[in-house]
Amino acid sequence: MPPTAIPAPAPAPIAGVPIAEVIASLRGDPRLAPNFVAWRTLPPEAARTAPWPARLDPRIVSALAGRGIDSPYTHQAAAIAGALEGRDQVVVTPTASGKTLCYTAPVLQAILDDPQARALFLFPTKALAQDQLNELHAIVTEAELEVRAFTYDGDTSPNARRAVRTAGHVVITNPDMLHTGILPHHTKWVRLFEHLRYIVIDELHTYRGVFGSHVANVLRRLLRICRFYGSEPVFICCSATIANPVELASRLIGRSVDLVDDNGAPRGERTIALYNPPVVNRELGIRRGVVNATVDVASRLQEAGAQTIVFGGSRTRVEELTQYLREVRHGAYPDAGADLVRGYRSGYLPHERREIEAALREGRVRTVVGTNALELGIDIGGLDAAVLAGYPGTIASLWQQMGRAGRRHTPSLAVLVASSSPLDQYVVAHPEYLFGESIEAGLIDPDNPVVAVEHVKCAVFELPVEEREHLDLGPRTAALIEALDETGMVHRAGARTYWSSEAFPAEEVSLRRGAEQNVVIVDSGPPARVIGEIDRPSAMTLVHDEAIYVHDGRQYHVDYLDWEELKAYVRRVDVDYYTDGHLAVDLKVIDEWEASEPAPASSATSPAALESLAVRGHGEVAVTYLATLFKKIRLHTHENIGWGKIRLPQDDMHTGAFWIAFADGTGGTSSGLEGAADVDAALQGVGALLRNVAPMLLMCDPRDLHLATQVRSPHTGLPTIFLWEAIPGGVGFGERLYHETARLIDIARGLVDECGCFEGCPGCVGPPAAPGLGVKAAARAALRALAIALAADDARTADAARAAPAG
Amino acid sequence: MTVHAIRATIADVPVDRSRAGDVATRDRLRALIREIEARSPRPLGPPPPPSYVPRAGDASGVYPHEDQRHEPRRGGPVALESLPGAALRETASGTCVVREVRRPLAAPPDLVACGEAFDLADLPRVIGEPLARLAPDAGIEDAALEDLLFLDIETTGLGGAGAMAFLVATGHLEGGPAGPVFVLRQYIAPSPPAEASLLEALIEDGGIRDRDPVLVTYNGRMFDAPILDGRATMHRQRGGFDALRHLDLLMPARTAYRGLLPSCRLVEMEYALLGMTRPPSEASGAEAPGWYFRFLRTGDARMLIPIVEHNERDVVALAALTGRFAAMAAGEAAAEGPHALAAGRLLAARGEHEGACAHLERAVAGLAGERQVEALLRLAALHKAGGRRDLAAPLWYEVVGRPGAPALRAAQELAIYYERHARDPVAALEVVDRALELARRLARLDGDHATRWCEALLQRRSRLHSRLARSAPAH
Repeated sequence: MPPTAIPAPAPAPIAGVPIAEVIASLRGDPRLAPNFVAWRTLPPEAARTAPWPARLDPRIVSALAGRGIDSPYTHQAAAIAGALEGRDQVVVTPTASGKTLCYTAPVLQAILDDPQARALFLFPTKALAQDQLNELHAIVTEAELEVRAFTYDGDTSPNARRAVRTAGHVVITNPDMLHTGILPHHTKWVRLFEHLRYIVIDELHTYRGVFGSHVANVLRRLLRICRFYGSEPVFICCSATIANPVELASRLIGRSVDLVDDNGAPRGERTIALYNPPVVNRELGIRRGVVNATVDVASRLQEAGAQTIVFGGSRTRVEELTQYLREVRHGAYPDAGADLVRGYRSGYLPHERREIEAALREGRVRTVVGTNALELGIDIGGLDAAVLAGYPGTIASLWQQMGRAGRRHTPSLAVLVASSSPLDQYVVAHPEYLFGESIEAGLIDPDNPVVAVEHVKCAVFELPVEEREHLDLGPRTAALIEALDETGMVHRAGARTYWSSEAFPAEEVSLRRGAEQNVVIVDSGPPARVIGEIDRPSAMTLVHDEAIYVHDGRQYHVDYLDWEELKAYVRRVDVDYYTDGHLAVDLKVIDEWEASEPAPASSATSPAALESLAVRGHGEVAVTYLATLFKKIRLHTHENIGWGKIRLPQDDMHTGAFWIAFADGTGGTSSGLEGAADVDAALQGVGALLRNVAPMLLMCDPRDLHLATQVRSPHTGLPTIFLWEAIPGGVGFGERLYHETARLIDIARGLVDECGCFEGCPGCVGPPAAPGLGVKAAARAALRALAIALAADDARTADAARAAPAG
Repeated sequence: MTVHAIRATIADVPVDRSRAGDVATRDRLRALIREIEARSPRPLGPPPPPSYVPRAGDASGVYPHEDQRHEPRRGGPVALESLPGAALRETASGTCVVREVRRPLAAPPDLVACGEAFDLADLPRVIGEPLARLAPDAGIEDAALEDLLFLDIETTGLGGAGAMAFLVATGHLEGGPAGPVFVLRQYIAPSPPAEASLLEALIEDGGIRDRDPVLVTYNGRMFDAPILDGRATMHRQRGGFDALRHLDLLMPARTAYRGLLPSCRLVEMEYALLGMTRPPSEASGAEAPGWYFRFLRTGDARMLIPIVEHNERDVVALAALTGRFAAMAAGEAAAEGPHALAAGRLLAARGEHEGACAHLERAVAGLAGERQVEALLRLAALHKAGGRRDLAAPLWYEVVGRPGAPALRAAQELAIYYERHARDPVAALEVVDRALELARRLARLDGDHATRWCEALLQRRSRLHSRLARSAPAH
């Protein structure tokens, strides 16, 4: 059935599914119960409300009352009052605690006070912007206010743009559009910038790492333009729970902020369970697969009538789970068909997503299977239960996903189903790791020169930069401008710098890593229609010729992938298998920019010098992706029933990397790795540790860095660890790690020495792939050797420096 | 040690900031930016041709009879104000350079003939109603000759706040003892900040805010007017260009000539309508930013000459084309060949059926192939709209005999005519059969479209058959 078809009449949603009974039945089930390794119950929390701030207009108060909000929760009252007083704030409360009100109320008040007033809302995605627009329209209509709100993004038609620019009180957009579409054309947005009162940044926690560093620079530019037009906007930021919301917010907006975290929203009792699938093969220690185990758990919830969200991790897994869960009987809705279970992931078209969201809110969809796209604040209402197929990788994401279950007054359940990966196995074996306080921090470094220089260019383009404005654009601006002047991109005249190039600098830098290009998926029909899209790297393994592409549980055969035109032509089929494409990733050093020299043989007299053969370097690497072949895998049994070749050219990305190589034990040198039972595993362990530490040094997101290990690297000829940058072209992380290797090693040693785990954990060298490999011990020895080698290198350099003037 | 404890120790030590001294940072940055530059090559205008040595007099070379040539200077940089006709202009916000050249409307015929000069003699005749036919904008028919303000700008980029207008040419007509003269002015910003002064002078001289001129541009609706307003905002001035009455000649040019010329660029129009070509020494608009940046770096006005010349010629050509187009819209010029088709399109679009028909008839007579088919169909459509299907029918019949898709459309019209108006189902059937044959042939080339035609034709055929069957016993 096409997604636009009118759904069958909805069964009436069941009010108040007795989650307690569901839990009891799970705990009493002889097949499932033994696999639950931990149960935790978080007690219910009662609502705490406060009076509306006195300044709030009665029209707003009564409109909110009309929408069922009689008095604000404590955090809402605090945030509204703070915003009305002009304080910059960050609001940190759990999912579904009513964050939206914290900024809509003061913004509407400002517009009532002065119909000229404007507000800018920033959301990380277009979908969230659309969601927010609908919410705002509802309140404005209820209150009968003259407030015009528009989204402004890539989907806004050229005709509508003029109206948005001049007439929109509230402009809802994303940082990318602000960067390329609004700031460089600020002269068309005079009304907005002259009267900008509030800047709302929702989902603040998503602006971390390199992306966050870019956004911080975009905000520096935004504030400079505001000053030019004479406005001084107040910031209202909202964030999911992270370790350092105040630090992240203040680094992002360049001002100190107040924290609002006294959550007054009520919450029903929440039960959290960890489920480790049973071992199905004792000899090999193989556990039931995470997909099937997730179906085991989710289907029980489904049968009991609990409205459930299942997080699938990857796109393929989402579709697999959607298909399987559709085959499960729905106790409460025996006749309702496939529409009760829906997939939801990137690649679905916007109207299809809107339809699913609405159906979830109305209770027509009982189970939704999604990727982390549903982690953010898309409004789908509170659900009875959440099931996570695998640990999402960070504790912050885990809580975000689990937080999707939970109504305000009824109990809820969240279950983490572990996969067989070492990481998942570690977390189910150590529940205290999840329940402890070690939630991740959001780190950014807006002053990274490679990032900042792009925005200094944009700033000069937008408005000649005065010398006194340099610091507003970051501490390095003066040096960056000097460098830009030398290249002729800018022209300095006295204390002012002008843009002197034809280029449009905002187009030259993308705020996000990753591919902009999408492959469009066309159902050949008839009638032919676009059913979805997929990013280019993923397309290589998901929509190659002969692949089975699954969309919302429906199977399509890919007849032809037009790689030039980026279109995949598919045809609806019904087969009993799916395909799994293999992507070979390879890393090659293209250009070595700097490298430490091994100690000359003649000076290798001291034991320290003997060990100083460790070689480090940094430079440009090419990471190549080649889709090689695909397997056909039978549904349910997962047996391999055939394979085929994927004929696509290789894609490659050039980026920066840092590498460090270890002596291989020849010639009396020692790196500490020789003691390991498995050199590759030990190398992986040291690599995982360095990758855990490096983001703290670089103030980036762990996902900005990738790890690659080569037991015998073609470049160094030695066992080598590469930390390479996820951003095409790199932002100088490789170089920074090279120059701060000693510090990197120091911190890594401190971390691994004091880590309380036995054989490794996600926080240090990674969870052990198998017991008895001695990875942690080998890593400690290797790091000790590295530290000595680096000290020897330093001493040698110092010697050389002393010797040079004399000679 | 927890992750947080480690982060706390890191946070205390501003590692990379303190480590590298200022000089080292700068050195690294220089290397860095060179590398960034290499990564995304930025488009600069092409370098000047190596053998080209601009002469100071080039810029006024278009009208040698107004000789203001200076001897070419050798040696040091040439100042902007020493360009012929140029002078410094002081305004409240600084100093810019304004160059002024006056010329009579009519250019010497020999210079026109050899493509040296534009003839503007048409202009006074077309003012008023003919001019208004070129654009749907209100208020153009009331414009007096002196109200027209021809305008063309040169910028350092195609858009965005960083693209400045460094050179603006205007042209207007002034009464003189020997009839009206064309006054060309060029406003030049000697440096980026001087753009403020350029705009001030331009707004004042052009009477943008107080005299309500009619702006005449080529693509100025989308480009020149909004950019000038944006630039004024940047300098905290009030622009007002976008609010003026505006005749954007690109619109009628596209209506008339789309598909008939390789493009609708101004130079293409000049060549096609006026037979003019640009001198080889002149820069193209795309090269303008490169020349301006070179001028900024060297301070030598000779770097700007190619672009000053280009800009001057653009605005004079614009004035000449305006006269030519308005004459065409007035039906004055007896256009031939493709120009007759163009004139027919323009007049038809403005609802001037009679004039359009006259042009299209000449186009039918003077053209062949696809263009003739277009003229036939347009003419037929005009007759049909005027209630004269009988005049349209032979034209459709003519097109039905031609290869290609238009024949299908003509066949449909013709079948309707025979069936409903001429009440001749036999003839209608004959046309439908012929069209079906053609549609089937086309269907092999372009499936979807022709298939839909086939379906419609088959439907019509079965209707005609049943009608014939019903009427047969009566015979």
